[in-house]
Amino acid sequence: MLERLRYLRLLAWCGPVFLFVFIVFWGLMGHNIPPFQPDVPAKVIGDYFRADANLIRLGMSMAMSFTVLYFMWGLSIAKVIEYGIEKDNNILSTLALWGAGLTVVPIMVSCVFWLAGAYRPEALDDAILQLLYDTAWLLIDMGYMVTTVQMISMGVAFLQDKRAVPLVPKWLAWYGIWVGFSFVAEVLMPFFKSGIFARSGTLNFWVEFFLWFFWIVFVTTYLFSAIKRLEAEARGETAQSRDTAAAGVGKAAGASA
Amino acid sequence: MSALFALPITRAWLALVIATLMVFALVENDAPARLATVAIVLIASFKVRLVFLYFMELASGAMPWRLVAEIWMGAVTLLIVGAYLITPA
Amino acid sequence: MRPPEATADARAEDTHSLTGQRKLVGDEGVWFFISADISMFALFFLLFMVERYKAAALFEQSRRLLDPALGVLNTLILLSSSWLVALAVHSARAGQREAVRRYLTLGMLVGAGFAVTKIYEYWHKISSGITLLTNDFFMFYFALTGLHFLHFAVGMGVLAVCLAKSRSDAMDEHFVVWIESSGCYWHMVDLLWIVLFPMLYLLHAA
Repeated sequence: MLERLRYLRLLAWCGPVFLFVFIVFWGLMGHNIPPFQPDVPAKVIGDYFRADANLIRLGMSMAMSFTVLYFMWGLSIAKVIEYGIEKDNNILSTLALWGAGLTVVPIMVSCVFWLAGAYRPEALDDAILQLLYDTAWLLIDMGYMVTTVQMISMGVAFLQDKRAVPLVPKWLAWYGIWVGFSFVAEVLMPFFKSGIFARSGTLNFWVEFFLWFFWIVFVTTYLFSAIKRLEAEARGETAQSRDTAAAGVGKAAGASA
Repeated sequence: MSALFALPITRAWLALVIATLMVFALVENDAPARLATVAIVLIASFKVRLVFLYFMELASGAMPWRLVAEIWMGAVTLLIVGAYLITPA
Repeated sequence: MRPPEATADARAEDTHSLTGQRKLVGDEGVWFFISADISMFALFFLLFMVERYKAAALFEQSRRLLDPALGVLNTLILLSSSWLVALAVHSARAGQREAVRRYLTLGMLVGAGFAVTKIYEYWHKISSGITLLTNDFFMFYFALTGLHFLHFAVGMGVLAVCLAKSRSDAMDEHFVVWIESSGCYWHMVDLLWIVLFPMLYLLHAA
């Protein structure tokens, strides 16, 4: 059973790599931490695309290339749930897996809109550039539910761990469930061009994104220790089954003696 | 029936109802606005305390959650009363 | 071995651990969730009071369009519903299945009154042309009470699950922890409204 854990650690490392790329290329190069306030004039957005075209092209092409790593990280978690916790069915691990995979969609696709704005900005109206910027943010924010599904199914699964010391502590399971629910506030984002519910607002940007960031960090930490523990359990089982087989042989030998 | 009313949670509920009616009375009369409003917020704080200590049974300790509750109550009360008092009319 | 009646009474108030110190009511994970949730609301309270400071006249003018009587009614409804659910928890500790079901059902029925009042309030405002886009005050009013209402709805769902479990589950320690946790969540919904009501409806500009 040790064999099926083989690639999990590699997959788990995809999480930190994704986070690094996301912050540096999408966030800093893409001028998304925080995004432009929705009520700035279109000219500000237009000027931004024209002035920083190459930086945006680099940022977004790298971001798009590495987004899939979030899915790979999610696969590692789903497998830990499947091999380590689930008994009767694999519904929660499947939800967690698809949630992670589908999260790639709003992130990757929204990047193409920023990229498109930076591709030939000199040929486009400020209003068009603003539309591209707005579309990207609407997609990345309003796609929240796929990530919520991932977070809640993970939390519910972790809570079902029957070990004396669970693979993932209860507080982190609940934290994920709570953050997953809190994303619902994004529903208000399309209605506001300023204030706490706007895309750049205290709630819908700063709070929500930081909550998600810390969740990824905490989960990854426990993911590595969970993989280690599952490997130890697998080795323990292997030793046990070897002993049982040896005892069986010994018994047979003794019986025939 | 009397056993029901002897319970701490029932007595807490009665206190909560009375406190709520007191708030309503303060709303309806012509007491000076600032005083009445601060009183209302302090009564609300007292009510939250009753819910934490009796309904959620934090009265006898259960750390660190008792501490979390106390800090939250203190911070929220201070925030609302303080911000209210420094806000210009 | 204690005689049966004494066991029932002892279990009824047996929220003490072996050392005599009262243990936490409900599952610790739920308390983490509750702490996170009330912290989020505290942030909302802060944001509201900051905006109120910046636009006191507008907030006062808008506040007067709200009906405090409905707010008081909602408070009394949630308080009573909380009390009934607390009684259900108390009954669960004593292993009294029928009492648990009775109090949970009553608690949910009374709680449902909150939904009726809220929906009426919202309908009344919206049909008068006031929505969450009307001004900053009403943005907070609808967003905060809306978010609270969402919590209320989830709470009703949680209580419904408890009711279903009380039908078939054994009245054991596991069930007690479940109903205690659900109760704590419900009390959180109650206490959040206790703060929201005066903050939104009753801060009379001096």
